[in-house]
Amino acid sequence: MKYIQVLKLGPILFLTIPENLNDALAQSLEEALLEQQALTKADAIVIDISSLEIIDSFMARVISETANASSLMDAKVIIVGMSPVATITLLELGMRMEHIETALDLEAALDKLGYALVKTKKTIHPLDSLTEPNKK
Amino acid sequence: MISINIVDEDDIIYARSEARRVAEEKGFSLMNKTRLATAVSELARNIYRYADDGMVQIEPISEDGVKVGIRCRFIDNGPGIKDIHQVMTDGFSTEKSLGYGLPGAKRLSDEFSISSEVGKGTSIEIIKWK
Amino acid sequence: MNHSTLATFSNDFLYSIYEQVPVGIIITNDNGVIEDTNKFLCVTMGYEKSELIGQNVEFLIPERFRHAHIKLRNDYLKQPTNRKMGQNKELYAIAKNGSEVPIQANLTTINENASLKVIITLNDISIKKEDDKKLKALNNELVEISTPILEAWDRIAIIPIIGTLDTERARLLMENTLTQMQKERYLVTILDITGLAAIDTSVAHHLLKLTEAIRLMGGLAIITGVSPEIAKTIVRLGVNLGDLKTSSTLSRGIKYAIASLENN
Repeated sequence: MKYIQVLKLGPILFLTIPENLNDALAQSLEEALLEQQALTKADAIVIDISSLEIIDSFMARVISETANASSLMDAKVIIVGMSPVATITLLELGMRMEHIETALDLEAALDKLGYALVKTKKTIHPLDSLTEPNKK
Repeated sequence: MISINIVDEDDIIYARSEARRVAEEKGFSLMNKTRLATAVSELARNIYRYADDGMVQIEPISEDGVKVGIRCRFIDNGPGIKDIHQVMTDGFSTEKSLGYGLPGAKRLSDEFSISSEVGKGTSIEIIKWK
Repeated sequence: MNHSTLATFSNDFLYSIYEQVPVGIIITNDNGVIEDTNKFLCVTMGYEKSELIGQNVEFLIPERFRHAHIKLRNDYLKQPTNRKMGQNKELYAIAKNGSEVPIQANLTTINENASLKVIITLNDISIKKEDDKKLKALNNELVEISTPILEAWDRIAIIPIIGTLDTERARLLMENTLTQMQKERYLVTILDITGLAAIDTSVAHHLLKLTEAIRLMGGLAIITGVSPEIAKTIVRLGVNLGDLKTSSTLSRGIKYAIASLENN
């Protein structure tokens, strides 16, 4: 059985939907996410669908339901990785996905969630202190 | 012609990959390749969901030696559809309810025909031109 | 039929008309056997008359169509009318050198001494087909050029929609817009319809579908250039714009776009 990985970055959870998801996996995906959400008290979830080549109504429903379940647990959900092809086929299929919020990329998703990337520490190269002792 | 039996869920994925592969071989655009594969996924899933037994046939076709297309047939021995007209109207299938996804599959295809008999089964044929 | 004028033409003259008129003519009996052809047909297809007379008309048809043609021929004879051959189909004939010539053909029947003759007129349309192809290519180019996607500001795209928006153009516009959006990471797409010729239900539908697609991909769609005419029409048509932002001027649309980028 494939392992669904949920990554945590601060208060944000990241989930990548694997290609060729089937019913069983879809269920474990939703379970894994909700479990992590409860555990970490995350208030933001980013779901990445960029590995999906084909999005049919089943997949659209999995995405919708996962997003809905998460927001019921009071987290904002954003979908990233919608390709032009996926967008057009979804609309032609008749899946409006109205209650789903999407973002163009991860940066835009973080932006929408109200988070920004801030660099606080200077990085220290391990060789610096050996070769150039005066440099910090 | 490629014939694929739809027994478990992986067969749906196989059927749509094959459709995609044939479309790729015939030089279909990315959009049309994906439209075809998505329609095949929808219709194959119906077979998986509602029938015990069914198959998908994928066949490249050509009209007058010039136009190139792919024809897919979806044949099952499922319960059949009582009211085809109702099932072909949008709103019968949404993200929330199950429905049959037929209007969507029809929109993705260039040609679509369906025949069904309650108790006997359903047969659907779609064509996507290059 | 009034023979008076024709009666003044000599048989030789009539025969010359038949032979030389710039249309290929084939005469067959009701079994599809060629009884005569005119000179123009021979020149067009590269045959001598003697090579064609006595042959079945299928001799001139590419092999893959022959079987179907025999059936069509028999069906036609059950109810012969003056008609064009092959509605909506591409027709081909085989020339003497084996090449396939695209043709346009018409059928008519004449009773001659109690037997039915079928007269086929035939024209080589290769030049027309080439012209059609060129026209189609030019048209496609025009569609491509006529909807440029301009970058107005960092992450804002402006698409001026000029002229008409039919299904084909809308389809291309949708594909181009979304592709560019992904490539250039446009967060806001402004659709300016100042140059839109007219707006009806179908055009409104295409526009709405485009804005839906932009939204679904994570972008913000704004429609600008809404004239009083268009505003009235949209209300009258009962089109539901939802929470789509619209504006009468492009500049206001751009200001709104910049503001939403900053607020976001």
